[in-house]
Amino acid sequence: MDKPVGPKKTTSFGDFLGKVKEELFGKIAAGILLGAGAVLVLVWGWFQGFAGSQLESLVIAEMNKPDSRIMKIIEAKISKSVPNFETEIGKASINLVRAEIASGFGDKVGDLTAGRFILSENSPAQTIYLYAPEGHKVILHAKIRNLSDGDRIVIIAPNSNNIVMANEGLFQEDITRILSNTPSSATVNRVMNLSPEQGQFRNFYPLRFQLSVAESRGDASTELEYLAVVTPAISVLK
Amino acid sequence: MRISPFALGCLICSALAVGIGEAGDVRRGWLKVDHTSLRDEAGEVEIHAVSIDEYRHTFRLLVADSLEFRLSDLDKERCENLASNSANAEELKARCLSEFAFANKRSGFGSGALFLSDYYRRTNASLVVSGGEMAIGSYSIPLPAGLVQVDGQVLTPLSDPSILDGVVCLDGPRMGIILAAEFSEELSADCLQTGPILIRFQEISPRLEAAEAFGLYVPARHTFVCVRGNGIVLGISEPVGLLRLANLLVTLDCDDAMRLSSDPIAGVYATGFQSGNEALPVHNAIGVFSDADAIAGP
Repeated sequence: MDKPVGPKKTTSFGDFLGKVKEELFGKIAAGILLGAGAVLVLVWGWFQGFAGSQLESLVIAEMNKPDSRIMKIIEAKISKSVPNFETEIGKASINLVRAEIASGFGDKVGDLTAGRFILSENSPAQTIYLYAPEGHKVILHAKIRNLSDGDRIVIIAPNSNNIVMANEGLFQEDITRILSNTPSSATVNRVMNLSPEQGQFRNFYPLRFQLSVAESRGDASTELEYLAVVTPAISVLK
Repeated sequence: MRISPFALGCLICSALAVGIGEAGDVRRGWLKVDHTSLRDEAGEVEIHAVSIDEYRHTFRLLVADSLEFRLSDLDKERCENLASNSANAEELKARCLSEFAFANKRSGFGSGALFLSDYYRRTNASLVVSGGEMAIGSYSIPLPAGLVQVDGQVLTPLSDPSILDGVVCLDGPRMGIILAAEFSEELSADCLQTGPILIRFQEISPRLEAAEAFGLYVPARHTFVCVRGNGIVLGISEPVGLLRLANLLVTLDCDDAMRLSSDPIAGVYATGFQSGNEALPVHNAIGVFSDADAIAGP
């Protein structure tokens, strides 16, 4: 006997299930692809952010940690009795700091100049030298200790442009603007005992830190640790 | 006798004021800064100035590079102790101090320039006035643009007299202005080249009008010195052009007058008075010392 002709429920149900499965599989696949894409975009964005705008805050956050790796390196490698970083010990230390930071940040960082000095009423000024080629940006990170109320440290560029640091603690600023319109070379024979001709370097800027105290405090002194990061302006910074 | 409560209050306030002044700064003399409005056709310009009696005061050129500002209190104490039991104490102390100063300079210490308030705080000067130009592009490390001579010793040479045309010389109680072109190193005084000369032999310098016509002198605060028959006037103006300042100073009966500095380094510092924004340190300042308090240096 022929089986009654009619809609094959099982077949229809199978078709339905098949369709559902197909759609579900498609949706799952689409979801996975979409999710993966979103994750990729997020990771890429995060990575870009990390490499770019986050660099500054990471460096300063690193300096601010109680067990700061950067500060430990600076402190461990630099003799406290050396007030000026333009020494062989200083240069070696800068290289170490550069290598340490470069291992963390890749090739996003240019020249680094780091050091520590003490300013007091009797020795109120210290000059550091920065190599900053055209098109580069200079971010200064500094940690100031023992700066009394009303006292200030003035950072003075050769052209008399200046920035005032009036508070203790961390200081971070783009100082490229105070270096603009300055002579593009500096004579450093006063420090390195070179002749004026030998001591001329292009894109080499003397930057003076000078303490101004509101009231005399005898031998009290202000300590400043600094890290100047020179970066290619195009690839790294905002 | 009846004393009104108001009079009693004033008396107590005065006594307190004198007491605080003496307790705060016993050895420092006090000079009164007058705030005067000088008038011309264009209006009024405020001038903050001190009239100095030459018989009761001495003048000295303060130089940031000098020994007195390059030594720490500890250095001075060490040299005092070293020389205290010696027969030739003064000579030994001087040698000790100069060696410390040399060593400090070699170590990168020393300043090359100080804020005006530092000159005031670190000496017993009754008043300090910023003076002298800084060489262009030299604020780090700061270098003077013209002649600086202390006790007859030239620290930086005379620069082009056609740019900085005046030299102010200080010699104990005397102060005078001479033309830079007529300066001779045989003078044994403290001398500082700056300019322009505003008034010469009671006449306004003809250079000013020419320079003003070219728009060289924009309104700014200027410190100035005015030499007149009955003493010296040192002061600072509110923002004004140099030609107008010269015209206004004629009313003070100046025989000679010269600009000492301008914004951003123009400033005057005295007890109870401060003018100028102290934005930048200066290589030189002129110090006025009450006769009894004039310091002899280290």
